[in-house]
This record gives sequence, structure tokens and C-alpha cells, in this order.
Amino acid sequence: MRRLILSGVLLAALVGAAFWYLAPDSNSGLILYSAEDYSTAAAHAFAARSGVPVTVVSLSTGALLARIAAEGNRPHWNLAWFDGAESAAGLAAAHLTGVVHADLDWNRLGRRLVPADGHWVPTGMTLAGVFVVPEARYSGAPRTWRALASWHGRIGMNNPAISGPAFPILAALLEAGGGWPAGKSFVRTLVHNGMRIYAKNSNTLAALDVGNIDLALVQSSAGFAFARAHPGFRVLVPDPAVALPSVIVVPHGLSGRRRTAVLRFVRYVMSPGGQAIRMGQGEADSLYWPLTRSVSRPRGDDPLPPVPAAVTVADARNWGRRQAVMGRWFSALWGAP
Amino acid sequence: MHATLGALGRAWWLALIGLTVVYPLGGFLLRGRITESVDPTAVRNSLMIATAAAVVALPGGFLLAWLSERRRWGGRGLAEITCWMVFLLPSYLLTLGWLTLVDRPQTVHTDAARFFFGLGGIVALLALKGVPFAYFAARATLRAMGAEWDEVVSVFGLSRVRAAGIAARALLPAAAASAVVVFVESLQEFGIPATLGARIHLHVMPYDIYARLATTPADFSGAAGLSMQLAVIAVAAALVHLWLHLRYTTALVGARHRGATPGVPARWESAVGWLCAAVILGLGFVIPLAGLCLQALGPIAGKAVPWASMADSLLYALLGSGLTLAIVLAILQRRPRSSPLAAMGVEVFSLASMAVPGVVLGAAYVFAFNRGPIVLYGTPLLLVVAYASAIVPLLIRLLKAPLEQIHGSLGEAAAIHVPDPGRRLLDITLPLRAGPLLWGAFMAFATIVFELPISELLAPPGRTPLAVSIVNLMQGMNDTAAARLGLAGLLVVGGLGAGLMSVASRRFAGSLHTGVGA
Amino acid sequence: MSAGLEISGLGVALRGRIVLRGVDLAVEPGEVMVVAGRSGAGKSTLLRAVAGLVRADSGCIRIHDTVVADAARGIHCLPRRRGVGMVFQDYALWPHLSARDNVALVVPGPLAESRRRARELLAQFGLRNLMDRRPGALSGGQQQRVAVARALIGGPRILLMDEPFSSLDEEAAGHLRVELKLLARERGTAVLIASHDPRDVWRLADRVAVLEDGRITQAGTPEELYRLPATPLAARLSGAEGWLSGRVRINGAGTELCIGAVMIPGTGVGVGGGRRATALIRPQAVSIAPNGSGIEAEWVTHTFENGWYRCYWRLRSVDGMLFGLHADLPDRDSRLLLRREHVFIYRNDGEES
Repeated sequence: MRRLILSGVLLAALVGAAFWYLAPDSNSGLILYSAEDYSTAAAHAFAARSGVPVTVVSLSTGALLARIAAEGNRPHWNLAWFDGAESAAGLAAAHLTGVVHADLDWNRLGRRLVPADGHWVPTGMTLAGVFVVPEARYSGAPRTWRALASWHGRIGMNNPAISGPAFPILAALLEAGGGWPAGKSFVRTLVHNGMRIYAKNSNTLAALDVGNIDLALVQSSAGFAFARAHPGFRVLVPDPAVALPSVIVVPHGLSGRRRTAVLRFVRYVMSPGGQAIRMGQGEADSLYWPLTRSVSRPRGDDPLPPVPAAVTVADARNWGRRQAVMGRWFSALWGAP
Repeated sequence: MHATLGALGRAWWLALIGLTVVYPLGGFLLRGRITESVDPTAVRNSLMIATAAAVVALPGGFLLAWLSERRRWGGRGLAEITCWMVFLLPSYLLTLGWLTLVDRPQTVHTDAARFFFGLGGIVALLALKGVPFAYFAARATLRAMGAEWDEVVSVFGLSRVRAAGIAARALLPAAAASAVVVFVESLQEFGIPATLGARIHLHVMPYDIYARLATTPADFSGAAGLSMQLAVIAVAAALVHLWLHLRYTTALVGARHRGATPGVPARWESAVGWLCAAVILGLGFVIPLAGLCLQALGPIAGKAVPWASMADSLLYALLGSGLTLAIVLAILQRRPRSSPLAAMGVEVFSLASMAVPGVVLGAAYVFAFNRGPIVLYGTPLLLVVAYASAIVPLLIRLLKAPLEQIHGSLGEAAAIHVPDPGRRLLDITLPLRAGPLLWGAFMAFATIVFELPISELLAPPGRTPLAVSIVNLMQGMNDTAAARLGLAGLLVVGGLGAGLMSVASRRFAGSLHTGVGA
Repeated sequence: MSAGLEISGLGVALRGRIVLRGVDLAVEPGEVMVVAGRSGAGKSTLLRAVAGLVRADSGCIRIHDTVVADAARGIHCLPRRRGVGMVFQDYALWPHLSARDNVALVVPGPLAESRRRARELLAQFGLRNLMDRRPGALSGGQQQRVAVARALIGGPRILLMDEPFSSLDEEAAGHLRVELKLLARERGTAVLIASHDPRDVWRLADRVAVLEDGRITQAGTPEELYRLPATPLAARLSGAEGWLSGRVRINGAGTELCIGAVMIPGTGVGVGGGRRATALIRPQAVSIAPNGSGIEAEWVTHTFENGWYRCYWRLRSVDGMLFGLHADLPDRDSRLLLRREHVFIYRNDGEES
């Protein structure tokens, strides 16, 4: 019996120690759910400057959004940072997010991307879809979304059911075809022409790399990052260029010291210093166009071209509302082998 | 009063199951729309590839199990290593490894690549992942068959064909047990069909579940409804298995069970066994591992590899495997085989739970323990409990036979003669079950280390599990870093497993697949 | 002196089936009682109820005047608190422990002292050189001794044994029976043995209880059982093998079984005149009739058994079979006499043939 008691005590002590080690820091700082690869660096820099600790939970966009939805009106997060105003609009429509007005020195693009109701803060702009093609096919590659239908090449894109930022690409395709539901036939044409769906950016771009497809339809940050690492490929910005902003949202009911800290965080990551870290210490996500006047892209050897002259800003609320039905329709396009 | 306390004490395990599985999962699934519409094509595809994977996985697993148990086959160690290694490699690393090799300019336009990126490749990978389950389940049953079976066949001079027919009937319960596990695991598997099915537009049921969760806000009711439909299919499979089991009951080994003396394998048997083991090991582990190593040699862009997530995952896995074993033991100690209704309940519960995708289980836990009266969300305890509840159903199925082979009279003798509960537990109960327990613990440990969807939804802030780090790196197009982290995890887990088996095989007679000395 | 073991009105039901009904039994300290019966009669369940492995649904069990089970009062002592030792049918030795540790683990206290006592006891059982071996490396008889040692080392008041000799060869079983009897006497341990083997009844038991369909149908000394077996099963246990069917006739000479013109004298057990009945006959009943009297019979086959010719007789005019033991091999066609004290006549309802 003594052995059992001793064993039990030892086991309890070890288990307790393990749980103590694994327990999250009970600090009074912020909890950030983020799908942006520079967020850890930005959070550390903010904490060093402000003394407000920030715990970053890095997740894929899909998992992040699912987690927010599952937590519902008992959120454990104080900020969420991801790509896609449509998703932010969807969260707002479900009353999962609150209003946050950040008075910043927006540039022209920034002013267009700031929502009127303040349910998200745009923190940078990428494009919903760019065309990545081999150098050899650059001259003959389509320049517009509509031209994809008549182009004689194999197209690949991400699966909207798996890759969160792929939904705006689908929205852009539908928009090119005349909106919803008119754009269905356009997308159907692409699918029947052999368009391929991949799980995520790396799969789509790998398929391009080995020649399984001739054109990869991916988010601009991924496209430019790929072209930077693979000199034999180039990126085309199609007409119209459709904005895909990265956004920060806050939970419904955020108030008091936490709200103050959140606003400080937002201001910091949008400041020249904060954006220098974001542009310099991230990976593909660093390839975005800034939305504030005081910040511009780093000079010299920047893989990102100047911001396109004409950028379309989709109606995030409208497209956000249709996400479920669009997703189901798109899945139904897949048939039996 | 005494009787009430006794009943409460005996039923504590019911409360444990209720709190950790029934409450979160049941509550979540019940809110689902069972009539949620699903594409019949998706249902057909899911059933087709799950069945095909089970059919393809069975022969390999069985052959290796047969040669290991009933023949003095020199490749027994290789078979064991093969199945453990293939089991260890999580499906997303298996896929990444193969993709690295096949998706290259030199190979991508070959017939092999076309096969890989089609139905054949999907079924092949699912079947490879299923072989270890077939092997583990079959070995336990073959060991239980005893020596008399071979001797009867020999004495009566039965022809090979007739002997094979008798063997097939005797092995039917084990075959069914293996097949349903592979079937259900393949049914809810999403990553492999989603990754490889791009070219052929393969639409499967888990895809629809993920699609529901990918909308904003996530359609949990729809996902829950579809998960219930998956669970219903799994229940149907469970009932088929139960029917087969009742018709062809397995043997119970007494404490005087005379184990089979393995015969000498025929040359062709041995050759086929070696080939089979080599092929499975090659396709299921060595080749994808080579792909991962190739990937790992590439340049790393940007930030460093997050090695800290490995330490966290190892600790989670230790805690989770301990809790898993405690729950499994508590259920199996109730000896459900003595009550047909309870046995049926265990069968149906285990398979139905296995059919629910991990992401749905994770969401269920968030709902139950964040929105419900008991708030545990955001704590490492909840993550550990969720890990355990995810793997308990599988381990119940795999440990049931080995634990049942330990005759009840051994425990009764302890109940009568050993008054000290400490001695009973530490010197009798646990050592008798040491083989299956160690084996089950390692299986739980290895699974938890690489578990993904539950980790994504339940990991407390500041503690990123290994699989989440790997997938984040892959999402960020940093496959090199992802491969390095994955390889490091495999090295650590594999090393731990090798050490454990080395110690256990010296300490315990026979294999880890049955109780000590059985 | 109080009874070592006292069972009153014990009833046990398992999975909806009544296994024991109203069992009354008492075993004195130092006494060996054998509970005999067929498979499925409830013998093992009786032992398990005494051990506390199954609950009593009715009745009461006392061990040395301590109530260990009383269904009416809701009393059920845990097995380890009843002071019993049990030898299981399959020995149930813990396969991962040596013979010595199998025995030592039962003794509370420091392990070193437990091991010393275990070594001493195993040496007494002739296992001095084998105590470091695991059960798998021991023969059946050796395992049986270890199991008995384990059951006895705790000084139990009651020793329960379930088919203890069923898998041993006759020599080993014979030795163990003698040792067990001596042990019981020396230690004053009440021993209750469940067995279907008649040899345990005749070579070991101080008293016998016959268990049929969950009930005790006869309890007494082996001699009482032999002289007047109360049931056909008891008769079989006492050696009756042959059987004949007919009608009962009771006259001044006693009870006879009439089969056509043939009259078989015997001891009636609960039979009335004119009823259909079956006579169970021991081989000792059969002898060759002198001078042309007796029942016509023909032996069909024979064997030589321990100095006797054992003949299988078929009677000419009646349906039935007999076994006889003869010093010399009789003529194939003979006339037989049957001795009344070895023939027992039972009613036909629900009997074996």
C-alpha cells in the first residue's frame, strides 16, 4: 500500500508539474489569433516597446476562423489577424466581432478599404488573385480574368473549402463572369476546361513548378514570394486587380484596459516601425502594399511592383453573405472520377 | 448506503466517459442537422475508397501477422518494425514526402505519377496507413487460436485448400475487426483525398464537412449533421462486424493456454512475406521519408524552425497517453464481453466515434467546455482530455483482444489472496497487462504528438503543438522547415519507441501484442 | 466446535438463470468435502459464492461463525476479507512471477520475509529446486502444488478447490490427494472441493454433497452415498454403469424391476409399485448364475482391468446393458445373477438412460 501511495504521489506531482509547465501565462496582456507570418515578430516588438505582453496563437486562416466561431460570445481572444475582408464581414454579421476605429493616416487605398461600420481594421493590401506563369508563357498569358476562359493553358487554384484566402479568388472569378449567380457559367467553363484545385498555395505553385499547370491563380503575396524564389516564373496582375486586405478584428464587447491595449497594438503595427518589422521579418505575408501615407515599400530589390493603378474593392458584406452557398455550389462542380 | 456508494464507485468510469466523450460530442452532434443534404456522389466516393482501402490493406497485414504468429519466420522483426514505422508517420507527412518525390519535372508526367494523383494513389496511401491496423488486430486473434488448430489440420491430413478455407472462417472475426477499422479511418480521412484528388475532382464526404467549417461564420450545425451521417455509416459497419463476430467467435485463452508452436514456413511463404514487408516499409515509410529528407535539405526562408513546439507536444502526448490508458482500462476492465449488450455498445461507440473527423471533435469540445457550465477551454487539461477522447475508441478496439486473453481467474486469484491493494495493482494487475499497455501507450503517444485538427482548435495560447507548427510552415510555403520539424519529431518518437520496445522485449516474454506470458 | 463453513439456503442467479437453489452445506474444520456433479450443475458457482467472487441472491454464508454473505441483510464481504484460499481449475498462477513470488505475494509484510516463508512452504511441497521458475516452465502437477501453497500460506480457514486434479495424471493426482487430506487435518482447514471425478469422492472426501441442477440432492459420507445413492447421478458416482428399464413390483422380498418375464431385484429409491422405472447396476452386482438359472445374456466385448475381466453384457430378452467384473473370462453365452445391494431402481421421470 505504501508503494501505491508513494507511486500515486509521485505521479500526481509529475502530472501537476507538467500541467503547470504547459499552463498559459496568466498575464494581463493580449491574446492574438493570427494567420499572418510576421505577427510573432510584430507582437514581440510591441511588447518590448509598450510593456504589454502579447501571446500569439498562430493558425491557418481556416482554423482561426473556426476557432473564433466556436468560441462564440465567450471569446478567449483579444485580436484576430488574417487575410480577407469577406471573412471579417461574415464574423461581423454573426455578431462575433465588435467595432474598432483606428484613426490612422490612411492613404487613398486605405480609405477605400476601411469599412464604414468599423468592424475591421485593414492592415495591408494584397490582391485576391494574380496569375503566375512560366517566363516562356508570359507574353501569351491572359491579362484579364475573363481571358482565362479562352486561354489555352491549364489553370490551377486553391480549394476554397481548405484555403481561406481562396474564397476571394472565387469571388473575383464570379465577379468577372457577371456576379452571382450570373458568373457561374464562367467558372463552370473554367472547370470544364480542366482547371485544377489544390489544397493550398504550396501545392498549386509546386504543380506550376513541375509543369502540371501553366498558370497558378494565387494570392499576390504567395505569387510574388514564389517568383522571388523561382526566377523562371513571372507574376501578372490581372485586370481588374481585386483587393484582398489583411485585417484585424476585435471581439464583441471588448472594453476597458484591454480595448486600450488593442488600439495601441493596432497603432503600433500600422506605424512605420511596426510595418518595417512586418515587411522585413515575415515571409510571403510581408509582400503587401501599405495602407498608410507614412509607410512605403522598402526600396531596392522589392519583389512587389508598385500598387496597381486601378484596384477593385469588392463588397465584402455581399460576398461574405454568399460564402456558404458559393462554397457548396463550387463543391458540386466536382464530379465522380 | 453501502450499496449506493458501491454502485457509484463502480460507475465512475461511466461518469468519466460521459464527461469526456458523450457530453461534448453527443451535445454537439445532436445540435446538427441530421438531414443535412449531402452530395450522393460524395457518399459514393467515400464508401468506395474506404472499402477499397480496407480490401487492399487486409492481405498484407494478415500475411505478416500470420507469418509472425504461426511460423518461425525470420522476418518477424521486420514486420513489426514495418507496421510501427508506417503507423508512426502521420498522413500529412506521408503525403508531403510522396509529393516531394512525385511532383518533380522528372517524374510528374510518368504513369506512376498519373496513378499517384488519381484514385489509385489515394487508395494506396489509405491502404498503407491501414496495414498496421490489420496487422495488430490479426496478431492478437491468431495468437488466441492456440496450438490445436494446426495439429488438427495436420492429423486429419486436410488439403491446403480445405485448411485455408477453415482458416479463413476462423480468421473472419479478426479480418472483420481489421477491415472496419481501416474502413472507418479511411472514411473520415480528408487530407489524402483532398491533396491527391485535385486532378480527378474527387468529392468525398469529409470535404463537405470541411467546406461547412470553412465558411464564415462556420456552419457547425451542418458539419455536425454530416458527421452524424458518417457516424451512421460507421455504425452500420460495426453491426456487420458484430454479426460476423457472433457467428465466428474468437477463442478465449485461459491461464493454461497452450500457445501454438510455430511451424517452419515454406520457402514461398517466407519469400512472399519478406517481399510484402519490404514493399510496405518502402512505400509506407522509407520512400516518403526520403522525400521528407530531400525537402528538409532545401534552403529555409525567413524565420527559424519552431523547435519549442516539439517539447510541448511531447509533454502533451505523455499526459494524453496516460489518460487514454486509464480510460481504456476502466472500460475494458468492466469486461463488456460478459454482457452482449455492453459489448455491442462498446463496438458501436468506438467505431462511431472514430468516424467523426478530428476537427468536429475539436469544435465539439470548444462548444461544450467554453459555452457550457464547465469552462475548461483554453487550458492544457482540456487539450489533453480531447486528445485522449480522440484515440480512446481506436485503442479500445486494438487492446480489447490482447487484454481479454488475460484470463479472469488471474485477477480473481489476486482478489482472494492479495489483500494489499497496492500490491494487487503494482505487482499483479499492471504487470499482467504490461505488454498491451505499453504498446497502447506508445500508440497513443505517437498519435498525439502528430495530431492536428484538435490541436488547432484547443491549443492554449502560447503553446503551439508540433503538428500546428508544421502545418503553419507548410501554409507559409516553408515546406523545408516543415519537413525538418516533422523529421525531428519522427526521430524523437521513433527513438522513444525503439527504446521502449527494446526494454519491454527483454522484460516481457513474447510479443507486446498480448498479456505477459500469454 | 463451530463449523468451518456453513451455507444456508444459498441461491445464486447469473445472467437471469438460477444456478444455485436453496443450498445447505456445512464443512467442519479439518474436513474434506467434495461437491460432486456434472458440468453446469453449479459446482464452480458454489465455490465462487463462498469465495465472494459472486454475490448471493438469497441465503447466508458463515465462515467460523462470521457472516460473510447474507442476501437478506445486504452483507457481502470482499473476497480478501473472508479468510479463504482458492485453487482455481486452471491454477491461475501469475505467469510473470516465479513460483516463489506467486506464493510470497500473498503474505503481507516485507517482501524478504514473505519470500522466506514461501521458500519454506514450497520446499515442503517438494519444489525446492523449482521455485525460481515461472509457471510456464513447470509441469501440471508442479503448478498445482504451487497453487495449493499459494492458497495455504495465508493460513486460510477455508480452502476451496475447483476441479483440482482434472488435468493431472493419475499418479500425480493420487499423491496430491493424500497430501491434501493430511494437510487439512494438520492445519484444521475446512476444504471444499468441486469435482466431477468419482475418484475424488472415494479417495479424498470425508463427506460428499451431490449437486444437481443447482440443488444438493444428497449429502453424507461416501459410505452413505455408496450404500444408498439417492439419485441416478449419485448411483453413477458410486460406480453404477449398466441400466435396465421396466416396471416396479414390490413384494415380500423387496423391490423388483419387471422386464417382461425377467425380474431384477434391487433397492427402490422413491418408487411405487407399477411405475415405470430404471435400474442402475454396479458391475459388482453381476455374477455368473450356477445351474442354468438367472438371466440369459451374451457378452459383446470385454477388457482386462486391474486383474478383473470387465465384460459388456447384452441381455437376450430385454433392452439394456450391463457391465460385470469377473475373475475369469466367462462363456460368451451365460446366465447372470444380480445382487440386490448393487442394483438401485429409480423413477423414470427426467432420468438418464
